[in-house]
Amino acid sequence: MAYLALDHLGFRYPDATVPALDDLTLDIDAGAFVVLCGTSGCGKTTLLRQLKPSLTPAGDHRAGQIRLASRPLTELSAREDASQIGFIAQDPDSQIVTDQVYHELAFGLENLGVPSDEIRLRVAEMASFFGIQEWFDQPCNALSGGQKQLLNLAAIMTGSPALLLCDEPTSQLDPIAAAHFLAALKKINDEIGTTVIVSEQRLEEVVPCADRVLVLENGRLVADAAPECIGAKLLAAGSPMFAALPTPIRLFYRLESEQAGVGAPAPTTVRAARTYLQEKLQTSNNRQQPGHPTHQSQDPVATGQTGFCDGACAARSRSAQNDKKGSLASLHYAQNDRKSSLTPLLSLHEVWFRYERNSPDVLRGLALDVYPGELTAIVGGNATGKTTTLNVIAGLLKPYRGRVKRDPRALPAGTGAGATVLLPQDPRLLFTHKTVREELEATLPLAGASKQERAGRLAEVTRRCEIAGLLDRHPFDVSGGEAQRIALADVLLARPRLLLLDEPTKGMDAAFKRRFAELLRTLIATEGLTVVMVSHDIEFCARHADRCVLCFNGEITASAPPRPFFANLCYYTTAARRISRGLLPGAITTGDIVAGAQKESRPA
Amino acid sequence: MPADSSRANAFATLHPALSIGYFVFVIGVTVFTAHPVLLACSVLGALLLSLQLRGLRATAKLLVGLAGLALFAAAINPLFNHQGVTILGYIDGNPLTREALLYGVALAAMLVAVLLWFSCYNQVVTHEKFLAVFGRVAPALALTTSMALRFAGRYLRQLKTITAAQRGLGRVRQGDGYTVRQGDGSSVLSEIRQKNRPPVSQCTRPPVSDRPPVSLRLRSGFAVLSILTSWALESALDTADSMHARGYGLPGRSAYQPFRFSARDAGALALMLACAAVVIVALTSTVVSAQYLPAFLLNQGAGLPGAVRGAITAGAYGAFGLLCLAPTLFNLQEEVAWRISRSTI
Repeated sequence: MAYLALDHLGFRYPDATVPALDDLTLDIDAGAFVVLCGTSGCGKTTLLRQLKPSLTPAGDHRAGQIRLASRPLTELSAREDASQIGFIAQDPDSQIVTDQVYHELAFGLENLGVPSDEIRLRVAEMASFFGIQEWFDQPCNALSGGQKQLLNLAAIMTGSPALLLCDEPTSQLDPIAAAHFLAALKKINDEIGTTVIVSEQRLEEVVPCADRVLVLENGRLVADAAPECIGAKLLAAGSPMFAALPTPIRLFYRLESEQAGVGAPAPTTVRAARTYLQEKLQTSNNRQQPGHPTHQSQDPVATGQTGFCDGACAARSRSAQNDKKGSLASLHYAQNDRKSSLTPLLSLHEVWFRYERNSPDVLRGLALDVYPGELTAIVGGNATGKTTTLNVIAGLLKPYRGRVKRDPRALPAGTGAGATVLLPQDPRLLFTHKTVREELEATLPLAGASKQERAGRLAEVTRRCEIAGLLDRHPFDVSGGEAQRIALADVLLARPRLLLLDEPTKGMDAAFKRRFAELLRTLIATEGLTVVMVSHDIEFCARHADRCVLCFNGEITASAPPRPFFANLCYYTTAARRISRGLLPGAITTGDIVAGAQKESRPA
Repeated sequence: MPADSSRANAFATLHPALSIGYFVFVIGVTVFTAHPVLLACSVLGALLLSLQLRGLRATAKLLVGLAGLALFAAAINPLFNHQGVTILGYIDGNPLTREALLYGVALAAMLVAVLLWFSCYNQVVTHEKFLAVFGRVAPALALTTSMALRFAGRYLRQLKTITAAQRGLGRVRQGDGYTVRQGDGSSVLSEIRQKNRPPVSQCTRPPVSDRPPVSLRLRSGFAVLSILTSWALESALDTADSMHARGYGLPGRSAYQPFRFSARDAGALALMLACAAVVIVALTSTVVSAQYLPAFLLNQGAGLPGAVRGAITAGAYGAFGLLCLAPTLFNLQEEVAWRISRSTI
């Protein structure tokens, strides 16, 4: 008998026409690690909340039954609900109740009426298990986002629940904190045997941890398989979620699609994918040129020549068309180094900045050129000065040494319509009106358009950002990805010359990420927009940026077009590069690897 | 504010209920008796503890600030209070009396002592200690206070973030007193103060400026507040969910006590109770008392034999003196013990 059994579960929100969950039937074994994925609004949160009675929303219609350890979930007492089922939501901050770490850890146990001495023991145990002694005596407000989410996890685990539900727990965290959190989840699952169900948007790290991947689409289960087989199922179903799968899995099916072997288990980790790719290249080499030594790892980036580029990459570099089979253009540093030919739209010269007189410098002689019509991506770890740089570019922070020089003909001073506009990480910070429509209409006059023009412009931006269906909603009453799109529309209505984006892809699903990149491309091509984005999303930057800039310790360590940039890195680089390192030089996307593998098997 | 760990503050390692009780008693006696000897003990004890916990610089700075206040308090009483039997002279036709002058000095000493004790209190009893003790007496109120403390910090930080975001879109203009900072909430108050004070530049700036009109600034201010409200409601819903999911509201809630009452705490408590008992007996029997107006009378109470009164008086002076010096002596003793134990390692 399965631990958790869903039997024809259906659910519809009040006033909704379509059900949020539709006829879900599945069994989950005790101790399983299950990943739940799907595009935004597919019903992930709804499903997770059905599994925790105290958080189940009121619905118009419910069907089916959920059984936990053979008992209907509705029979669970409030005490059992609190002690047996843990729930972690997206926002690390608003889940924390008290202002001290130790008190937060004790909070759940206090509610259950556990005596003080036992709480002391359990809190100590949890703090040791998660390694949070270092910040045990701190006030909660002093913690970083990653620490806060880890605290939420630890606070829930003090009650030793048997089932742990996580609703996109890492969506607000940077990749390093996210990896840390997932490692803690995996540790709980491995060492305590707690059943874990985690919903995620970013699958690269979480899928290799899982025993099982469930894919939801419009409230229905479209695929349910082990990570090694989920790719085949999604391909067969023609699901858009295939694009969101980790690089090793996508690479496997792109290389295998023309041949037999689709039924074989796919590699899920970089290590497995490297072994697979090596074998693949060897067999094709041996088939073509028997006796020829296998491909040697000469990194042409080091020797000054780069390999190849696939269609997607060529499309990115200029042409708006996204044809799959483009020419294999070669790229060099020199070719893309446009310093000689173009005047920068904006340049930072030896910029030094600190927040307070006695605090350490955040920017230490940072130099950066932003060229017109380019998408520049600033990447780098946490607290390296990325967001500060963006604020200095926007003129919101003034450096105490150094200059910010802008091309006065191309870029008016200050922030606002027709000049520089900064879209913050949290899009909700922009919304001041009751409906999305009012929100957008309030921004329109800032760009100084005539009445007739305004209507047309509003319609155009609405279409481009795919928010037509949201115009009459309250801007706080939409999902994270939708809020991001509304904020983008808001910002675009101001018709900026220079658009600054802080972590724009956070919370976006894979499908919209692609359309978002296309939208930026169109705007750059048609309106002469220049974009600078700060991002942790290396894969996005590798695929869509014109120039990548590595920020470290308050200065720019490297600046180059994405291909040489990422091909030159071994650790802080795309999964495709890590897989192909030493095997296919210069490849930084799965497309590159596929093109490279094909080239290998058809030597010129 | 966390206690400075570089200074010896062994007193802060006692059970917080003890520290709180100590300060309540010492400050209470200081305020309710104007007895010169007890006041002198109190000022001396507070001063020494402040020097020990906060250092010479911080204490000197505080004393400079207090000096003005004390002079004012000492001066204002004889100027307006004309009771008292010993007339020293006349100011504007009003008598200046010795008793009123003495009373003024006593009030000033009381003020200095209380403020010094409070500055030490902040070094010893942090707000989480206070809440932990309070949590046993009134758990619901303690939890609410704890949540409120957290929210206050978050709201102020969010306010800054929203303003920065609105400025990034060009909706709120620059130069309205906000500076954008990340993460830390440490300088929030100073910024609020800055915000309330009109910037100097505003007065000197010529009438033609790029500053938007007041109406627009007001409107953008309201916009920021509106986002803050929406955000606060939204996040409060999340917090409520989190509390509900973790069983808040179940009957039989317990209160976790992070601090344990040790044998050392028991010893300190016994000593404190003994001293306090002597002082209380002396004060309630009015054996130890002070009257300033109309005539200055010291220790004029109760029809007890002189020897007993003498013993009680001496005991009360000694007990209160010991009590006032106790934290300083305790810290010193710990410091010496530490040096000795380190020298034997």
